Amino acid sequence: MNAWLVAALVIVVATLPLGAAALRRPAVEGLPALQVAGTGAALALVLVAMGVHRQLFVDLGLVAGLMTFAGTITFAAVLGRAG
Amino acid sequence: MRDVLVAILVGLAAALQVLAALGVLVVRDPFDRLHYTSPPAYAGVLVAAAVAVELGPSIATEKAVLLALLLVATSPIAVQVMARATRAAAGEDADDIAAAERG
Repeated sequence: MNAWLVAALVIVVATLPLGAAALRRPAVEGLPALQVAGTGAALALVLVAMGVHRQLFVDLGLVAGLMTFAGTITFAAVLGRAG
Repeated sequence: MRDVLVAILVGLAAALQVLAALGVLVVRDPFDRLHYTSPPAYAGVLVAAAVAVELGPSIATEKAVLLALLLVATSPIAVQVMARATRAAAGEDADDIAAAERG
């Protein structure tokens, strides 16, 4: 296991409790956890792509980063309106 | 030498992500918690730097840099939108939120 994969593993392990926090807290307070977890997922995808020498898969991280932002904006708009 | 530099950069990126996750989990105040959503964007810059060190000029490097720019550019917008949603969920009306944002 190289440094890329170790870093990806650390990020994934750090992201798991955020999922639990996002589920337990009131919806709008779970948004920061969702944002940090989404960014972590995007970075982990890039790190895994580099770790397994499949640079083509860096695209997945790029798309995940974009979707995280879109998701945060959408959830914030919906939850802000619901509140 | 290059491997050591890559290991340092990705190690720092992972440490930033762990610190951000801890901050979001531990801090009680919802507005203070928002501060901890920004460090992962700068972890993205470190990862892009590591990719650049490893591969040099390449399409993968360009995509990693693009991801870093995306994260750095969108992080403040996301924080602003989350803060507004938190205020709205707490029952503040649109005029109060606009006044608070103006300071």
